[in-house]
Amino acid sequence: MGIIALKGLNVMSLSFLEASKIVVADNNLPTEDFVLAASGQTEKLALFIKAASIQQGFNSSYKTLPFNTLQQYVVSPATTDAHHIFLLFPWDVLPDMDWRSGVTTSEINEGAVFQAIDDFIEKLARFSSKSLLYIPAPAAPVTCNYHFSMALVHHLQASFFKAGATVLPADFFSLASYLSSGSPFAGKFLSPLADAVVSALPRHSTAPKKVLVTDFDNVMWRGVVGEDGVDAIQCSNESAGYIHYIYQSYLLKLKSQGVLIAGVTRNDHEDALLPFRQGVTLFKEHDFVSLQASYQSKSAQIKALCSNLNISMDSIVFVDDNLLELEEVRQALPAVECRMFPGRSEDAPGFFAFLQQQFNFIQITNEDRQRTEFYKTRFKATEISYLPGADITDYLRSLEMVLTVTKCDASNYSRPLQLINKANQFNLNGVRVGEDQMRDLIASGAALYSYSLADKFGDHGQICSIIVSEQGVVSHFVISCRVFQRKVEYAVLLLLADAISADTLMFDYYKTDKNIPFQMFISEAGFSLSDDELLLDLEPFVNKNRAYLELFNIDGALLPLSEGS
Amino acid sequence: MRNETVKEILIVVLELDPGTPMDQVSSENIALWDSMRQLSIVTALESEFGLFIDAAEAVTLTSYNNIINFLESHPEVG
Repeated sequence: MGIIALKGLNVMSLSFLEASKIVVADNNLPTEDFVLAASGQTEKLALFIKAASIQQGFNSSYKTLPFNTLQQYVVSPATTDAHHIFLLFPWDVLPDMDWRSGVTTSEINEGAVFQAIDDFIEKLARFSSKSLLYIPAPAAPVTCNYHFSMALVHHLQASFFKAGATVLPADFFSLASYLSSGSPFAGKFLSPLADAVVSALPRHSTAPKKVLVTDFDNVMWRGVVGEDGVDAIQCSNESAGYIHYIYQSYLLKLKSQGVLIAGVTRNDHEDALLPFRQGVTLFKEHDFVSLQASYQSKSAQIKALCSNLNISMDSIVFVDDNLLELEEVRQALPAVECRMFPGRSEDAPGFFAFLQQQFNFIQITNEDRQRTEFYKTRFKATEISYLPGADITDYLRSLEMVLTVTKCDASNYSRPLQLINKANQFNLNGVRVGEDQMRDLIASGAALYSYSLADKFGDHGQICSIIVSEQGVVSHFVISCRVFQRKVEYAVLLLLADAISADTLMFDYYKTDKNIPFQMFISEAGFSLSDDELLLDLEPFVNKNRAYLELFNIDGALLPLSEGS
Repeated sequence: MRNETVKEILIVVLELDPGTPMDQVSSENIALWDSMRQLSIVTALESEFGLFIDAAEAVTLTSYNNIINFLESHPEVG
């Protein structure tokens, strides 16, 4: 399966031979009947429609119309109750626009043309079960008036949008193919076109979504409030967080239309609420129907939300900026529609168009407008019981992560120390270190290790710092919140365990208000904690967690203590 | 690789024995090679190689050798 670029989007696409192989295999899938109503030859599409439907879990069985009989079919009495998928071009509405007829010499009456468009769409209304797919292909010129031609093209498209059609890319049309064989479809795009046909079947139609669940950091605002502090985050229309301002204003719009907006964040509850309470945000705390801030998995938080609001999973759209969080929710709750918040402003229009499709309301009632308040009265804040998130080990493996270990000296202290002095959440003790102090520590035999992470999507930079004394005591251990859930914490401790001869690792641990993720790690990984020391018994730790190391390709020095001791 | 793909397309569309010598495969000596199969072959070539094949070019693609020559004249095909 390949990826083709189409109007700025990357679309998964089967080649002819890939589709052939899918279709050849026997299967016991159910069969779905429909009518594919198009004026052109549709044989070219047949293989790809079969393959697309098998990929979506069924066999397709469909009837087609004889070549160039769509106009008659639309006005003749219905002979079947089957679902109709109309695959339409401009000339299906206005035959004078058909390339195969040459250019008409007759005069075009502007009023009559617009009326003909309305009449055609009205005729389609008599098909009770139907989907409309419209390909806005360039049409033969019907008039010498350029501006009228353009108005006609846009009026056609607008009319189909109003009729609820899915408008497909014009690139799906090929004039060469249409002229030579009567088949108007571009061979290069048969696979995405077939996907659009198969996805237009009623089995895929869903009611508009009701709830948008949004992450906070780098979604509601630019920055990480738990790490950067509330003063450093940005979400105004005069800052680098402009796109987050637009997102918040769009959430207010959705709320006014009856969409419930819920916040879900893996964060300290008080930290998560600070931007709202300090008036930094356009979207206010009271605009949320519910706020869930905890360090439990996002899927567990969304489950609790559904249970509290008594809504179904398939009515939820979940927005996050983190691929791993999205994948965790996708695996644990497949009915939830997951979408990445755009990392670049250029991608924002596509993101908002997606949300518009998901929350596609035709009419809004007063009840809709008051829905948030209505649900809030029903919502009871409850403790989220601890539920492990989905197992995303396979997904982590697919990321092809490379963990690079560097033993630092005075020439490259800077970034690892910055991380130690900035990270709050996954932080052994919250103790900060200056460069002078670091120099003294090195002189006393301690080692500073910095860990960088890259994966197939890009470079995450330096994401972990550890300082280990000559005696093998870990005095500092921090991990950037950007890479939580990737099992980096296990990998770096496994590497340390490999490198030292001791049976036990000692840590200078202090509980702080903000290092809750580290506290959770202590309990999850089997540390033993007494009043004055935190210990990790290495043999059981290594035996239990060795497999996490296989998620990474390790690059760099593996022996943290051997050089210093 | 390109020649192998063309071979595979012709085997699938024309239901050929995989051992068929490709040099001899043409619309003149393969009974199944009619206008519908011709359309499928052009579709498959467009799909596999990401091409738009013009009507005038499509009618010349009537043998394995013609197809190979056609693809060689299109540097964008890897």
